Amino acid sequence: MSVAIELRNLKQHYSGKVDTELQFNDWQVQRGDKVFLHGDSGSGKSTLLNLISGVLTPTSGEIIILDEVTSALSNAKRDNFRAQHIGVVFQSLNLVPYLTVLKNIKLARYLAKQAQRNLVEQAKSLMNQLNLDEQVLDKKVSELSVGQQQRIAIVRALINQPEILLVDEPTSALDVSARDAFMSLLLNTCNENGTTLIFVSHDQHLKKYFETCVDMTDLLKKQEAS
Amino acid sequence: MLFTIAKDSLLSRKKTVFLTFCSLVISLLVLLSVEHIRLQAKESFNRTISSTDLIVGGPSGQLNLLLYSVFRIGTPTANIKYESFQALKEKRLVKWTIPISLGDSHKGFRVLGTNSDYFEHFRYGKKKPLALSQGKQLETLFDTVIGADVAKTLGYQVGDQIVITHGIGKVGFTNHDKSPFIIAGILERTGTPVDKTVHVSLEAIEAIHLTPAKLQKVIADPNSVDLTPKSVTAVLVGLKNKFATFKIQRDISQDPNDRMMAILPGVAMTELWSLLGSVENILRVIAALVLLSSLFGLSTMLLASMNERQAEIAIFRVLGAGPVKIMFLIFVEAILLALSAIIFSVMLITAILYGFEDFLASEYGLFISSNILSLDVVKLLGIVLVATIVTALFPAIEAYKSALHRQLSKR
Repeated sequence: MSVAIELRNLKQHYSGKVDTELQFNDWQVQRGDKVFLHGDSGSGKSTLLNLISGVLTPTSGEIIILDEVTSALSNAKRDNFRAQHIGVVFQSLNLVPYLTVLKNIKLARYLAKQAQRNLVEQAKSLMNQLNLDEQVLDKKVSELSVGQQQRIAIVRALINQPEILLVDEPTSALDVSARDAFMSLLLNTCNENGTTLIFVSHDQHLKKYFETCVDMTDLLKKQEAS
Repeated sequence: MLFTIAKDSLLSRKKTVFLTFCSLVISLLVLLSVEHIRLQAKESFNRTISSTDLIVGGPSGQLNLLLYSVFRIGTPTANIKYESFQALKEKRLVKWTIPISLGDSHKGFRVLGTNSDYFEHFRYGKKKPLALSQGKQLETLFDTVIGADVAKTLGYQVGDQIVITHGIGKVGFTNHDKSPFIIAGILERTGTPVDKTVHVSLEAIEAIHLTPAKLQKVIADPNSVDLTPKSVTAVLVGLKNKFATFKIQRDISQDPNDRMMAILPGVAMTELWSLLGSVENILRVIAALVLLSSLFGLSTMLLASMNERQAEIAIFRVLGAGPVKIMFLIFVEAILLALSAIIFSVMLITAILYGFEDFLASEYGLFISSNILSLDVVKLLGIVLVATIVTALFPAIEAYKSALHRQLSKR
């Protein structure tokens, strides 16, 4: 089994009113793993997601994703790498509200610079896996329920068959029954597509869906004042 | 793809976008109308005289000579001798001449004494000759041929009798009411000062200045008095060879027998137009400022929308769009809006001009083409697009900065 994500000597420095520095322990995630990353707000989860997805560049250290040292790539190349290999789903507002569902999905394909061929078939097959009616494709995002929007966000994140899916509190806008349905659909879809999943949440109840659970505090070196 | 996104994005903000669009259309209408009317005015100005190589008249300024001989504005200061005109006519390099005698009026319209060469050689517009819409040319002593405006304003028909007054006011100093002129012909509309002119023969001009007793004699028998003119106001000259223009011009001004000057109509027209040019430039500056303020409106609209679009920018970033691409999207939105405003306003102006073309030509003698896409206007539209891009820089840079610092889940 090869490594999907690896952190080496990773440090992220923030300058502001109070200078802070996050130092990460070295960490590896194997391909196909489904990891539950638990942490309270302000614990550095978002920073870690930003670093892995390549929106932030680390102050020092290396991030290796799918054997590529992404922290050493140029900004444009890193953006492109993200488009092709990493899918991201947020808590909410994952979709461009004024576009239709289909155009949102097309946009992801377009920005990944991949051919639009077979797009609709692939989207429909993902939508079937996620229990979504095919008819929503032509609807505006604003016409969908929150649960539907979150599932469309998963379709959109997986449309380019990324090896890694980063999910940040995707269920916080859902009620309990919708949440359970969403979780099983998400995990099944990741299994079927062999996707590595990093699932970030502060909600301990969701732990039961995962084999691997990591606490944010274990990922960070004990803070020494800087 | 970016184009569709930009289109949908604009459509999702219908109200602000529509108002911005309206402001752009209005300012473009102002700009395009000013520019089009300016170009048309220049063209119509330049069409008043054509094919004439020299205008010869008494010594004064070249603008003065041009104004009274071509535009019938102002008063001639000095005449030239009739013999000089005849000598000019006989010159080897001269192809044709048109004598002009000015100084009288009919109900506010200028009276121009000339001969049949006027109807044969005078050209306007693109070398168009004069044509009669009714009647015939000057044949007998008291025949007159009137321009289209004269006929329309005064409601004259061929065969009507008119009175010609000395002087150029509406009410002349002396009413030559003993001289019964008859309208022999009416000219077709030309869109030039010819439309506002009453044409008579040179001899007729002499006749109306005779003493009443002599005039009675002339009316009774036109051959009883010698009506050979003593002077003419100006002479339009056509040359056989354009290269001789300057030589002839010099010969005329150095003529020992008479004091004369010769001007090149093209040069004088350019000088006159450059005088009018300052008015034209003021109009253009105002139009440009109106447009600029609209473009700032467009820029402000896009800039104000940046706040509500933070989430959208985050989505684009997540999907792998670089800051440059997001900046580009803002440019596409601005250009799309400006371009549709341009297309709409061009169509609107064309439709309006097309609808009013005949009305303007028949009522005001304004020949304004409904085809506004001349090279100058197209160039101007190009400049508008460039200005759009420049003003869109503000929101685009804002989008770039916000995209650069955008982190995924912080909102």
